[in-house]
Amino acid sequence: MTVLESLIESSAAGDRAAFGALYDAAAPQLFGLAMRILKRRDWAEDVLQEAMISAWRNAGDYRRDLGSAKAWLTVILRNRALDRLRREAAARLGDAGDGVPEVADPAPSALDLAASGEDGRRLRTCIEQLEEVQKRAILLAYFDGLTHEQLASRLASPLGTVKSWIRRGLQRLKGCLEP
Amino acid sequence: MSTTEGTGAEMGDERDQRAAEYVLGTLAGPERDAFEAELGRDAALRRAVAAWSLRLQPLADSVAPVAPPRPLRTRVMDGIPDKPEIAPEWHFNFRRWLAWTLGASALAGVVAALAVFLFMPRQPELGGYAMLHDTAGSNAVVVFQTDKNRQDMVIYASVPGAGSDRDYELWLLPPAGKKPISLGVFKPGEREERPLAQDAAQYIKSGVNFAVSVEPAGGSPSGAPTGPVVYGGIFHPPGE
Repeated sequence: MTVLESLIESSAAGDRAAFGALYDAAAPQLFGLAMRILKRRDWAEDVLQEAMISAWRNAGDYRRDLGSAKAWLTVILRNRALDRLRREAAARLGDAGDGVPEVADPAPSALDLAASGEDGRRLRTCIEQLEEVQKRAILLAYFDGLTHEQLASRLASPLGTVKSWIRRGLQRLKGCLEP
Repeated sequence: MSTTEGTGAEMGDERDQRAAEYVLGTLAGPERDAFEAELGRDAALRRAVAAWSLRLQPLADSVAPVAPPRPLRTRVMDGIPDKPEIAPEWHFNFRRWLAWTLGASALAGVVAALAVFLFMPRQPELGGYAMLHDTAGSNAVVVFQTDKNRQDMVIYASVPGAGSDRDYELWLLPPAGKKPISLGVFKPGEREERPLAQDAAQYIKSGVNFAVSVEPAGGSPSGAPTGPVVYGGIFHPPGE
């Protein structure tokens, strides 16, 4: 989808209408992802707003040769969402909570990945080949924003073990995607 | 000139690993801050992050889109400063590029960026846009945009080819029984900027319809759409 790339480049040149069109094209997917990670509509709205404003400010950093515009926007959105999640968790910790977000364990069973497209099917196939614990840890980190510590608590396993699940899981994914 | 080159594959496992964890989101706190600081200085690390963000993108794509509330768009559009803060950053990147790049493809990138920078179109006041989609819900999209004085128009088209010996033609559909007005043929791909047909200008108002039809190469021979209409959408003035 090259239109997003063009729209980001025009935004970098100060074209507000192009940025408006970029918002229209990208916001629903980004908002869906923010809702998935944050599970709260008000937080998701804040985060989408911050992420889009950040995209406008940093549009000049975007490089086509470094990958798709969609992936660039996703990284911005997720970083903002994870920041928010961790700020809120820290605040709750201050209020004597345990800092681990209360989310239903999605155990994204064999992935409800509505994996569409060639890339989606390949990633799904590769994720299915991971060990169950590796898969769970990676998906909980991606979709629920859990840190290593939170994962250790959620999966009732030592921190070092969780870290190595993630590390080996990611290595296997990479090897599987690029044989 | 000696900055580390290479893709994730050639890169140390440990650094590629941290790039992966950065994209996954498990790097937190000071670890993440340190990584981001390094990212600003290290082109190979930026490439590794980009590669990981592409690998994991299908996860993001698997989440169902949710329409954000309408006022959020206004808040975002009101929240962006008038001039994007790109110039200093751009110079910074340019120096970095020169530092890491010697190959022909990289040189082409520099030339393209220079072209964008030096020949940046003047920025007339914006007069609104239309996004044209198909009815199948595909990603294909045609964006039409015009300036406030309705002098020029810009078309961005991210659509498949129209077929051999076929062209896409953009039409404005005036209200109440008037004939469609051709805004010309266009090719899929990049941004095209050209003068706006002046007989169309008077009709470009909130909610007016635009359509794209598939026509013989060079455009409709009759001056009216002859082929199937494949994309459509309505015009939004600024702020709507």
